[in-house]
Amino acid sequence: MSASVHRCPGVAALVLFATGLACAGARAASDPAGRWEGVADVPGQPLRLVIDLDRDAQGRWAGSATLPGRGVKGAVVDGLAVAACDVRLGLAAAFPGGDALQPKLALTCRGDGVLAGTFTLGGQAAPASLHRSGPAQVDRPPAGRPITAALAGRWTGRYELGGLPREVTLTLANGADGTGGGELVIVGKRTTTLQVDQVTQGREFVTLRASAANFVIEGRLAAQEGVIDGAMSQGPYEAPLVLHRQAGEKAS
Amino acid sequence: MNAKITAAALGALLALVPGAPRAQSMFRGGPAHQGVTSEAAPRAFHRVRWTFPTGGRIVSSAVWHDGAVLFGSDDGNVYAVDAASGRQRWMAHTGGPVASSPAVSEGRVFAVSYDGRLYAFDARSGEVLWKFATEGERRFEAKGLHGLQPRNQTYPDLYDVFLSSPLVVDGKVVFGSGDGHVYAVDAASGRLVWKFATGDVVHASPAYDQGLVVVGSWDGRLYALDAATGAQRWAFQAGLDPLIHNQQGFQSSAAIADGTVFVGCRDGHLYAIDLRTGAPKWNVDTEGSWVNASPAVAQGRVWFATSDTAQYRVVDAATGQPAQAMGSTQAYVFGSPTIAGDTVLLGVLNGSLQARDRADGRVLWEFRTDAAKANRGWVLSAEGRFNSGWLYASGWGDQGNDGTRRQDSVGSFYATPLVAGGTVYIGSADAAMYAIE
Repeated sequence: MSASVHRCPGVAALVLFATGLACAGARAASDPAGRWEGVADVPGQPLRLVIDLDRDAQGRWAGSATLPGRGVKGAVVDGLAVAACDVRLGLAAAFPGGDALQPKLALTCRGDGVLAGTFTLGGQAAPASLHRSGPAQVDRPPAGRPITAALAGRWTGRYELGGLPREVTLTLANGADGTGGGELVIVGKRTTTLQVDQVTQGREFVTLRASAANFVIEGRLAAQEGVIDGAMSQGPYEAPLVLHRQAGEKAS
Repeated sequence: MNAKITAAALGALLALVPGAPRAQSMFRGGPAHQGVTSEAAPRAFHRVRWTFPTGGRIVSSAVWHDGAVLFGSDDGNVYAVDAASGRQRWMAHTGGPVASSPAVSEGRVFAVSYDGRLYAFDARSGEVLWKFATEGERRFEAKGLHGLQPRNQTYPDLYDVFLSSPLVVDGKVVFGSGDGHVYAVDAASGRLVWKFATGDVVHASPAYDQGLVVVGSWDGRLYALDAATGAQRWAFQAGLDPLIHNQQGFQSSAAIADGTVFVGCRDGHLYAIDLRTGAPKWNVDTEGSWVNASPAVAQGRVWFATSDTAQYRVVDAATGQPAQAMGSTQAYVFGSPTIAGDTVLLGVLNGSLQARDRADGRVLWEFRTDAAKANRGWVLSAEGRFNSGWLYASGWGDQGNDGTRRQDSVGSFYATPLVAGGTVYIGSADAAMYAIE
């Protein structure tokens, strides 16, 4: 073998090159990282799927799902498990009431470079088949960011919904991880406490989201006046809401 | 002579510089909405360079900014996608379908959403800068619309697909709303400058020239408003249809050139109207076929297309007389023609993008979506026309609407093509943005 290599280095190089290519090809076929497009063959209503799978800098898998025609772009997948060429993931964020429906994909690489398997939802199962259509473009949730002193602190306001007044107390601070968040207490007929888990502070515009209740407050922050002039919304319901920095608190 | 050569060479060089400024930052290319670009379109179909999937139907026409195509989707997002790679630069969420084109000016992207708001985003990051709330969106609606039954029922018009694409002029963002108003909002602050009440839904995009904003309403009037104050300068009354409301309303956005306003109407006409006075100059009668697409105007000619009769027409801008033999698009046209060099591009609701020779109108090439090729449910005939008698089994309420929705399943092109760097960008009802070269 080695003699032949010595006799014919050009051929050996070609063989090695071809072997390398073949290895790379095999890796590409079996590596689930990428953009996968296809269909779950739900009877009478095929479900189009675009699944992006990739590893982060630490080598952990991340994924997102786009459902063309269903209004879903870049929904975070849950329970993502990748073992060699087997992919398991949940799509709860892609369907209203997803936790109850338990939509899931269980897929395996086929020899022809297709990811094929089963889509399940609400106890039903349908075959699913996806082909690789390009490099992954995983939509990652926006990273939390710190809030400024102008926003941190205690704010109070009032809104009316359905003729009923609600008193709002909002407390915002940077957490141990350095990102903004806080607590929202709404007092109406009863008292509701929500965790504000997403805070986006732009140049003037502020968005505060309590994801668990789909409750959003947004508006313009006038730091000098100590006012957030905006609105609350919860699904289709919205009402004007002006928040004032609580007396005695000053933006530093 | 040498100076001329140098200037020509410089011009050619500038055209080759990647990222060179291109005046396609709003619907129909600019404030006058002429639908013309100096960019050259491909004369033959080579390939789909990339597709970008979204979650919803795309009726928004893409605009260009800093090497990216910007557009909205019915999934509620505004996207900035790198034109070269097809990768997402940013995605900004609104509370409803974004069924019109964004506009870009001075680092801000403006977009109208079905949540009833005008948004201003940072053009680099997609960060929300401000929102402006109207009194709320709605589709055009009427009792017994299009002959649907029962006739005393009020139906939203599923063919009212577009929202008003914002116009940016003199530091103001001007747009129409389903609440019946035309709004002018300060581009920097998002504060209201003026608003003007029309009699019905305004989903056409305002055009601008010589200090006037021109926009049509579903009340059947075309309005010219003072761009500074919103005061009405004139109104042109087009046809009305009090029985089934089918033959009325301006869905088409006006184009303005050389002191004349060109606009299509659902009353089955293309109108030419004097910009200063509002006096009609001429009209083309399409015999009842909607002209929902916005006309394109270049060098003394007007390009437009019709809905039901699927006509591709070119007329003389001065007289309205035919300047070219009439062509067929095979199916309904809602998207507007784009004149790109010696090529005319047009999206059709049967899922085909057609490129025609500008001089004689012959079809140079045609791209069809996979959904159009698959033609599941026989939405299309073998010739690519809609199988209307198959789709619309009955005129009773929801069954009629169901046919309209099935039409979209072939990947209808409602949007208007954007051409930049030899590539055509257009979104489809199949939820994908296509880059075609």
